[in-house]
Amino acid sequence: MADEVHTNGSVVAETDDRLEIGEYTFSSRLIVGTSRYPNPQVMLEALEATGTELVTVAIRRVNVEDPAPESHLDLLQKGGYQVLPNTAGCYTAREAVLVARLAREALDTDLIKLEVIGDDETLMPDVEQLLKAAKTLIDDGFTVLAYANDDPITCRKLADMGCAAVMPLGSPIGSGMGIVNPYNLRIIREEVPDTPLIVDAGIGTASDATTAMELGYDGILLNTAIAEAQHPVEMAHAMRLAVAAGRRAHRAGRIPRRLYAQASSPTSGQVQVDA
Amino acid sequence: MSPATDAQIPVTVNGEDRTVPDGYPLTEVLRDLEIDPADATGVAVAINESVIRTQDWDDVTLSEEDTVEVIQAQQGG
Repeated sequence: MADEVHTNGSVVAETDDRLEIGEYTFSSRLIVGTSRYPNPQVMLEALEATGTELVTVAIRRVNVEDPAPESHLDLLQKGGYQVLPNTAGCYTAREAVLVARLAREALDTDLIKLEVIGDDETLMPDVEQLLKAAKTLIDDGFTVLAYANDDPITCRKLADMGCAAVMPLGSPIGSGMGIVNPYNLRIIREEVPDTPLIVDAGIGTASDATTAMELGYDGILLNTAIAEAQHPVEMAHAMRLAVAAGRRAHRAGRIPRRLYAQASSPTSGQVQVDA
Repeated sequence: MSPATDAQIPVTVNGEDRTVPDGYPLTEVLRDLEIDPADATGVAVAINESVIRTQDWDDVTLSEEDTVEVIQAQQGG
């Protein structure tokens, strides 16, 4: 990565600091969901405000009782967004593989956000099924972005088998609880140094995104935090800035934490008045 | 493509049991779902868990006990 060096000697990560996922390259490190916005216009304005280039969509049966609901796919494609289909709602590897293959045909993309969940209450991944599905889809030529628990062992296995990105959760999907176990995320970063890591799920507000990026994550995937904010477009702006801030802070290298204070001002020559 | 006959066969479309004429064209299944097979952006079909390429839709007819999945992209996270 060629950094821009300012005349004062400072080094700043600039526009060639890109996110690479498989064969794909993005200048934005935010991946944004398209669900739960108040209306399509707000969705489009919010997506634009995030600066994202990659947006997620779900794959669902066409409803026999209520045929052909509006997908807004045309709006997304007109907006120039790369679409990332997900396998949300799949409980088994078999279901997820079928949905991924249908998505590839429907959307003409090998990108897949692989979700295989264990139950409706937690929406936590079923690790056994997730690993099985990931292996099948990688062998089938997919660019797999795998949604995972914040478990270093699972994340390492997903990276080792060839997932293009591994996406541990910050906290449960839609919970807005933020990064509940930064220590695990840090270990995962150390265990998986060479595969893009993206925090997917649980982001509630801008500082959560910054925290994840400061931990050295390559990107953030979120939806509800923007879509259900009181002012989605304003939150979208905030998320864009938060991701950029966290990325720069990570690259800048934070100071170590100290238990005791360390004066910033000179420690000699202080004015003293005798008691 | 086998010619349509008067015989009725059971099939499943998106999880719902249906009875259709033997040899019922896949394109008719799509039209039943108000999808125009010639202009079906973001739609895909699988029969018995095998994806049917869009360019092959015209050549496919349903057989007894076929399980058809017709999906489309929707807003999602």
